[in-house]
Amino acid sequence: MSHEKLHRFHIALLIFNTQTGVVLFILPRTVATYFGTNGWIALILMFIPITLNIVLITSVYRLGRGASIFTILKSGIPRFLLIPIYLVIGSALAMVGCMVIKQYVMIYQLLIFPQTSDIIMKLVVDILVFLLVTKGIYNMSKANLFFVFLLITMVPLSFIFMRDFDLTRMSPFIFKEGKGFAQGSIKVFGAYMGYELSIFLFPYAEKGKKWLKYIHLGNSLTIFIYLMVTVICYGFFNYRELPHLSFPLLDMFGYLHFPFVERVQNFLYSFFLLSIIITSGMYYWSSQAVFTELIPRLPWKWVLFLVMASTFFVSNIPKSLIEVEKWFGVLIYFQLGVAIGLPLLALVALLVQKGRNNHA
Amino acid sequence: MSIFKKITQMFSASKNQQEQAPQGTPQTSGPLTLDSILQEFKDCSDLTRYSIPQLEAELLYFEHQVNLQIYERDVLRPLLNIRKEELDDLLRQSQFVAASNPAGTVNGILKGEIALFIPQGVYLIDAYGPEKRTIEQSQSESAINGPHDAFNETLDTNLSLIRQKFKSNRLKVRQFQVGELTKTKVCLLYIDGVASMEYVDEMARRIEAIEFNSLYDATMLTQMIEDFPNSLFPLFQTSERPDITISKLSEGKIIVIADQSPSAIIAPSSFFEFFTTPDDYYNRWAVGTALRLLRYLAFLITISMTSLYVAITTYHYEMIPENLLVSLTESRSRVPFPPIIEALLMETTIEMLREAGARLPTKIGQTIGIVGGIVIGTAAVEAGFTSNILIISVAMSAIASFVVPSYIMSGSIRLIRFGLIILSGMLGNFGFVTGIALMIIHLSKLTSLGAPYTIPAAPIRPVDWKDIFIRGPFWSFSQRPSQSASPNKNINKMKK
Repeated sequence: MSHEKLHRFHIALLIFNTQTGVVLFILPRTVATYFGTNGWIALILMFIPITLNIVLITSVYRLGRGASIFTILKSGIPRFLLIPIYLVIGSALAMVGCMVIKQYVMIYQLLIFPQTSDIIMKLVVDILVFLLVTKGIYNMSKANLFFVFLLITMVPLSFIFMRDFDLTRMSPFIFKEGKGFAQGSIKVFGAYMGYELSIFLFPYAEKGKKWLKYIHLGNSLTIFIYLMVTVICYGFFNYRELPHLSFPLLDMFGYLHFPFVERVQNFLYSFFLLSIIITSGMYYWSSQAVFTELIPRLPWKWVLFLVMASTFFVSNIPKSLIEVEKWFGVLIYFQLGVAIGLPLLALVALLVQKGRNNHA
Repeated sequence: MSIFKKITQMFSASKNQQEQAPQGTPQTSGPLTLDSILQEFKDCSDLTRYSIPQLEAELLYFEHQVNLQIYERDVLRPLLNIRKEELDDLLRQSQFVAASNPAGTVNGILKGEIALFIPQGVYLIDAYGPEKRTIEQSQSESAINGPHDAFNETLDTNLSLIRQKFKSNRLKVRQFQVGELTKTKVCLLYIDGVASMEYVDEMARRIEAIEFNSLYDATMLTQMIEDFPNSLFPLFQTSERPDITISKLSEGKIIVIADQSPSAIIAPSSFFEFFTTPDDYYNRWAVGTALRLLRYLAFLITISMTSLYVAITTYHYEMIPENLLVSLTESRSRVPFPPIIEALLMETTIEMLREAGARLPTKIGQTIGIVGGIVIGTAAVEAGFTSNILIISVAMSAIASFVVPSYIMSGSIRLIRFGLIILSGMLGNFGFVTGIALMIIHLSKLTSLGAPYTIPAAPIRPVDWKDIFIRGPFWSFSQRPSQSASPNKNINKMKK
């Protein structure tokens, strides 16, 4: 009956499921387009700065002795400076949560329900996300365990393609025929996004510093899945074919045949809803945490409702998948701001606080 | 949400106003006399009044509530064999308890006590012993191996069955009374030093807080003390078998039994416990494990089979392999309804057959089964009412739903299936996954007596998996389940 704390393993899976999502379906194409031959190596290269970024976030926890990020910021930075920062961060996080659903729904519309309005489908997913987030972060993490379990059952399916994997489709060259390393790096960085939300989990995690390693574990699970999918796609198709496939993973799953069912790619894509609601739910949850800090008198469930309702209307602006991807192209800079800027700002706040204490 | 709360508060406020006078409390506030008590039992023709003129004594009791042997041995024979002067000596015997007020006397008579009115005062003698059912096998939880005895409707018998199997003074029993009218005795059982006292106190608080004038069964009691009374899922496991009760007690759980009910409530319970049976432990562990896995598979089949049929035949024909597609389209081409209507019709028919079979006597129930089998099996297909593949899917779902050992859980799962069919009919695979997600989100928030309902899966407790998802060998059981929050984790050692 004691008040539940987030178990470290729950945090790992929460980070993992926040990171993965629709991006898994387009990652092999993105990597092949921007990095060309053996582009999957870029995933490993990008893993290094991301690991360093996680170290930066965990250092805030260590130096702040487990205090909430908002408490840390409040203690060292004046409120009038924090208000615009919170407004920008809260809005950006909410827009990421919203666009994740929009992208999923638009792909669904493209593949399966061309005549169904994407607004209706988005509304259904929004309701699901709202119901999930209003249960609180502990219950979200519990639901996530079931979701991850159901999603992980798809992993063995990937091994079926090992017999069609051919090394001759790979190339001995690295990063040749790619469109641009810098642009590709930002895209791959975007694929890993989700770990930065761990900065909002400080007050909910179990006591001690053990759980911090589990952020790395979640991130490692992500790179394992990303690498597995991308490498199999490189060997199943080839680096020249991949840039021309919209959703290489779905095309690959299209070849699956069972005695009683075939062409399961659409069904598997439907199951990715379980990942989407966690990704979006975590961003919305973080956004509401930021906005609740701004308007503490309003109950947090109302804050969430208002945030979700306003982003719902904004989500009607982009009309095509390309537009959504362009929006993501802008939002990634805000995400980078949260991932790198927010912990740095917290460290500054801690230094200011320390300076004040010494002075006193 | 707040509007809903206000409406419910409004209703409960008006209800409270109507029920200001407690219905079961005797109204007498005057002196304790024979006439005042007789007035209380006015028009109760089953009340027996027996006079002993030589002692100026009157006896009042309900004959059907009283054990006649005790009555004759402890009350009647001693009273008939003494003189008036010896009465004071007799009244010193322990079975004679002086009554002080009319309310206590009325309650005593209702509870099976005999009221003795003499010039010296009023005395109550406990001679409770109504007719009771003998110990039989459980109808709803039949056993192949292991003990076959089951609880019956008598609290004392049920307590005796537990004490017979559990010979330890650590087994504690707290008693409560629930129901203004029924005054049902409710007992809370736990093992001292093994059960979490936090849970025991919480359960006691919930039982004491019940304001309901009638309690007929423990399954009714569960709905009054549950954490989420509006949830579709049962949050406390119930059982009629003493062996389950004993095993749960030793796991550190709490048992609640009520008089006039053969079911024991087990708290806290986990969602996965509803898929376990005592037979798992009486079989070899590999067989027990296989059976357990079979039940989880049955659960998946029950919730998904028909809804996937609806989703695929409505929106995703491409998923069906060519060979199967030919026979399916051939069969479906004669059906004039969309798959969702077809499936809901068949599922409702199956549910009606089940309900009719459950309520009717066995012999008529068999007839219903045969008629239903013919109607559904052949006539419905031949008449172009439904496709034969749907028949197979509906039948498999129905059979699978009965594989779930708990009848209450099985009912909840069947209801969820309807929701999934409707969502699948509206949005195909997307609707199906939405339904699954909704179910998981709902399950994740549930708690049983404050403990997580989905433990050991979420929160994750791998150490408990060997007795939930599989049935591990006995040597591997060393710890009590995490959900019990037992102060004594080691299952094989008792703390001094």
